[in-house]
Amino acid sequence: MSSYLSPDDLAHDHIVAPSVPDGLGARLAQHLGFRAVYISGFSLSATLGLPDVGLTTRTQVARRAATIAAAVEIPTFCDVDTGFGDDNESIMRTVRDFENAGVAGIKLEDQVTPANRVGRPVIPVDAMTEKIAAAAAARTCDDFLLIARTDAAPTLGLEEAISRCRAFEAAGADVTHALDVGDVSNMRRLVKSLTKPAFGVISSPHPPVLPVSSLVEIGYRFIVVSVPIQFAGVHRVWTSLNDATSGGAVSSSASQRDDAGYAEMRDLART
Amino acid sequence: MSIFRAADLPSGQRDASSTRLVCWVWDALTARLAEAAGVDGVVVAPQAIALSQGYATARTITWTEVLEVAWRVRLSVDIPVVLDCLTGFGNYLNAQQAAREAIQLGVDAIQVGEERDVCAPASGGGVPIREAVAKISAVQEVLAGTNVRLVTQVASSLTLDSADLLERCGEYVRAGASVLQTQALEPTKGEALDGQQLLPLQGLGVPLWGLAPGSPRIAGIGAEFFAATVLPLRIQVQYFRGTEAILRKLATTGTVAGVPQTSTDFMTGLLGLSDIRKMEQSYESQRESEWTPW
Repeated sequence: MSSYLSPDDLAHDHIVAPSVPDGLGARLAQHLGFRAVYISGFSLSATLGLPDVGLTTRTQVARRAATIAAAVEIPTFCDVDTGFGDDNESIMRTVRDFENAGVAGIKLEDQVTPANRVGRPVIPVDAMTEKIAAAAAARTCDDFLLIARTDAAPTLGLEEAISRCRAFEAAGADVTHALDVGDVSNMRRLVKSLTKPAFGVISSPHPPVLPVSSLVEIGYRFIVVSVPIQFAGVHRVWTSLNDATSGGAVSSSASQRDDAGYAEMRDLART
Repeated sequence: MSIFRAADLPSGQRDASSTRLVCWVWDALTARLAEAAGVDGVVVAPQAIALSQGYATARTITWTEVLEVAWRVRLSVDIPVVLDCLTGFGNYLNAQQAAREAIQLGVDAIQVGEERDVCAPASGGGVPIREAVAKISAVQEVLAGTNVRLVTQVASSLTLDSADLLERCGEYVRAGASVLQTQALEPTKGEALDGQQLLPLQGLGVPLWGLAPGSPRIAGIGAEFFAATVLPLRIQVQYFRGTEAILRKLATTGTVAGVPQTSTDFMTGLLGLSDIRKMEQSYESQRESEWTPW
């Protein structure tokens, strides 16, 4: 069962959470020593055959999150886009459902619902801080982490993004994330402006793609490696499927490798 | 050629290229990948679903969980979808209920096996023939009058001699099996199946499915023997290997650079984002010009 990560844990240390779309990936991450896992909206939507444009429901995401959280002992964090609604009642139910799912925290964005529309428009800052306050009031565990993200930087500029992150902190967010702020100097300026831990991401759609060490040096404390994890698995699947459809035979050695891989998967999984 | 029809060409005139390819999937993403790669059909496989959830065996997976995945798969692909019901998730009543729900879901076939142990069909063999036939008959009763086919997995192909296997499979076909999957798929057994013992099954008049083309597990017959061949866990093993490679790289170096990955464009294209963007832009421009509050 997934555990919690106290905000104090991030005060003096950083954490790296790979994004995993399923329980086996989470167990693999735990096995390799990661101290937390993250569920990205893109990756989860993809497993449902959907692009990440706000088509998933709270029920779908919470159930998947529960499955992943149940697979590991390390904390599991989940992307909930805009919280599955803009009213306080919806946000509070989202917090309750994800607490019940066993996750250690959620990430809430200030995009217009549904998320990821063309241009990524954002809601007014007051509307977002109200959502964060509602989420903070709804949580029953103080260690249930609220991560608040702003998508304001590309359209409204760095200063607006910084201003929003400060407002999110004041409203009750434990960690804040300003997406796509630009280059390293902007990232430094952002992180220095915050009073609570900053969330950084390693993901090809959101450059610059920096190594963990660089993000830590800049000052990020909560570092998520997003879609690349799933993309690496998909690359192998796609290659293998194309081999099969082009008539590739199964050699004895390939068959033995399959057997070994299957055995490793079973060993890694729970009985 | 449908994956459910018997070979269009008489025995001996077929070639490996006429053999269809069917792939196990565990979510809608893998189903879409399979379809895009040219696979002819997908099997929603409880064992694969169990592994993706982090469970070692399909024993822990409920029919509801399988149905949920099958629903997403059905919505995501146009190629035939086979829903593996293991041994029916219970007795014949459970199997019938599963069949009813599968029909409503719109799958093209359901698979019901005869195995004693759903997680070790190769080693456990089949249940007594009367028990298996009763379950197949019960399911066929529900499927009658629909276009949903019944695939029966014959686990006893590894444990019976040729005559007994023919008798058993003949009973299954008479009870309503439209396709016989002639070998259990558990890939942990080292021994190869003697393909020669499968030859008499061609006379039963239903398509025979087997393991992937050129599988070293089946000796004495070629891939062309089967109307369709099944890729079981190999694809999932590859997914696992890809995930493992990038997580190891991240754990040891703090970067994911250099690990082969697919691109964001590939993923969004596969998931139909461009069509949604076009629709979104069309809707937004229409709304700006014609929008009136309701």
